[in-house]
Amino acid sequence: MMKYIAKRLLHFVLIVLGITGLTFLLIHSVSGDAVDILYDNATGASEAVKDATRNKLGLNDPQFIQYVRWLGHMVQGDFGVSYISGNRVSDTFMSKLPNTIYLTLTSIVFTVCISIPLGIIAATKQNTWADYLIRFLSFIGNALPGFFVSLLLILFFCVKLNWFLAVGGEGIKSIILPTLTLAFAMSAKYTRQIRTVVLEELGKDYVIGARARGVKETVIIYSSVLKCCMPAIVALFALSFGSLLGGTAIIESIFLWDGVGKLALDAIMMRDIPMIQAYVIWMSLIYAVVNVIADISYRVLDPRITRGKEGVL
Amino acid sequence: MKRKSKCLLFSILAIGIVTIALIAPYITYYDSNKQDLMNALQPPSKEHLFGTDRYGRDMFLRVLVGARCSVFSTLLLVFLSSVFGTTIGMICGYFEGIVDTVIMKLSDVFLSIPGMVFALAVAGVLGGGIANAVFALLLISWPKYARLARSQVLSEKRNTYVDAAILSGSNTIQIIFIHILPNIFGMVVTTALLDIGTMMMELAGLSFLGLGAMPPTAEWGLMMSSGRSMIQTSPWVILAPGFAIFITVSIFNLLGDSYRDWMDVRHKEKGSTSK
Repeated sequence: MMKYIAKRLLHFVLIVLGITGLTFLLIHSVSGDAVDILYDNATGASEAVKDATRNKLGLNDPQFIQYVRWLGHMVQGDFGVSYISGNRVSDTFMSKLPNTIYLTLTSIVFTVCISIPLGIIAATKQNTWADYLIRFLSFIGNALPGFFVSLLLILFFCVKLNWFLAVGGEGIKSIILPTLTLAFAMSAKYTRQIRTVVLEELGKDYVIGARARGVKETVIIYSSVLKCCMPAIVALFALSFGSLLGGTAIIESIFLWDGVGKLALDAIMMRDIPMIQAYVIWMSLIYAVVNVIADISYRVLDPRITRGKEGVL
Repeated sequence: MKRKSKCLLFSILAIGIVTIALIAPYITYYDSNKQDLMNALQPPSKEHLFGTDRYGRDMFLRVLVGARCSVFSTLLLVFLSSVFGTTIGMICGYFEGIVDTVIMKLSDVFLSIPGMVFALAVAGVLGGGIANAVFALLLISWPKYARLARSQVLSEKRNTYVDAAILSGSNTIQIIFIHILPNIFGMVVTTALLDIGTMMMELAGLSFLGLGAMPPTAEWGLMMSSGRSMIQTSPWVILAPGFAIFITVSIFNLLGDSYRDWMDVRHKEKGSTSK
């Protein structure tokens, strides 16, 4: 187990190097000259001034040197200075990150509470009206984009029923609608997948054996089947964590939720490159860490898994 | 047989949407971008089926014309990423070795960055425009096809028909594209069809954020974004394009599902007759 964890961590470090390299390369090759952008509003900045700035910022060095220097700073938690506000990127970013994590966690809790029971009901009552209804709902959820769901929720709860303020608001009330939006789309996806996983497990011999011995159906499902499905369900959640991290950006900007997604979108609008880089790298890091934890945890959950057959990070 | 006709039905519906997208700009007698401020924000009526937006443009017309941008850019995106990814994956799977290792590690890296996060950053840094949005989504969607094609080729190339092709003197390109490709084609098409809905929603999402289509283009995501502030007084400006996305995505999802089911059955039948 220790050997496996060590190997997994090494892989993790390689992937992180890859992520930083890719992000650096892409953003630098497509963003154009940062100094030109910086002086875009200051009319009359001469080439000499621009060149001096480039030298000061180290932009005249070869790309690889710039990358290594940038990586070195980053490992120490220094993501540079925002082009727009002049504040340290990591300070601004860290102050918004808890909000996003808060929103992400509430959405996941909601999703777990909705999709696992619905998935189990749909599987155990296969081909009854309950199954058809759940599958129909999950189909609809899969075809509605998040931003449309959020606008529909605003229309219904804020405009028609007047229960919440659409944006801002305070305390627990302000998180309900963004959480519902994110949980809606995810539940639609997971309910379907959990149904498939449970159905597959229900077809196995040990279930038939338990039934033949007269074990109660509820006992079979909750103590045996669910236990065996757990690794698959954990894997599903971990793999889709990435789409959740991306999805929060749109939702945060609609509900004006003060998290990193909104921060990143604002940065994109103002072409604040260091902030965008920090966003991509942090989100990828969180995603990678979640996947490592999931990988290790389903080995704990399911001792049968042979090591060395792990999937994608 | 039932599965086949189901698949056929949804193909017809999908073709219907593509046809609407193709001919909409030519059959309408109004200009979809023409402003008529006297008739701004009119609720749905006989004259304006879906009402009008804040510039008095007919929403029904704009939803129809919007199909062009939304549907075609999505189809182009899925086509490009599946062709590119599959080609790369087949080459990796057939030759293996160092190139394979490097490309697969690269795709590992791409897969380990949350897709939408990366697409937002790339589209954002490139600046708006539907072409940039398509490029951004292309970057995050090809590795899936590369992995699929690679794993399929790895198992296909052990078959005797590949040995036979080598012995009969086919060159590598012929073996990959004429002999192996037809055998993995169904799998790639299934993945691509199932991908259309998701890609359409992500592309509309980028446009919604102002990182895709630019005004005054009629594009569903963009139309919803510009109608956002009028949600209280004139909800039809977001409902019409929203349901257009929903219906289109539903049809393509149903097509993908039914095609997969049909292929499964065909696969099983093929398997049982050969035994």
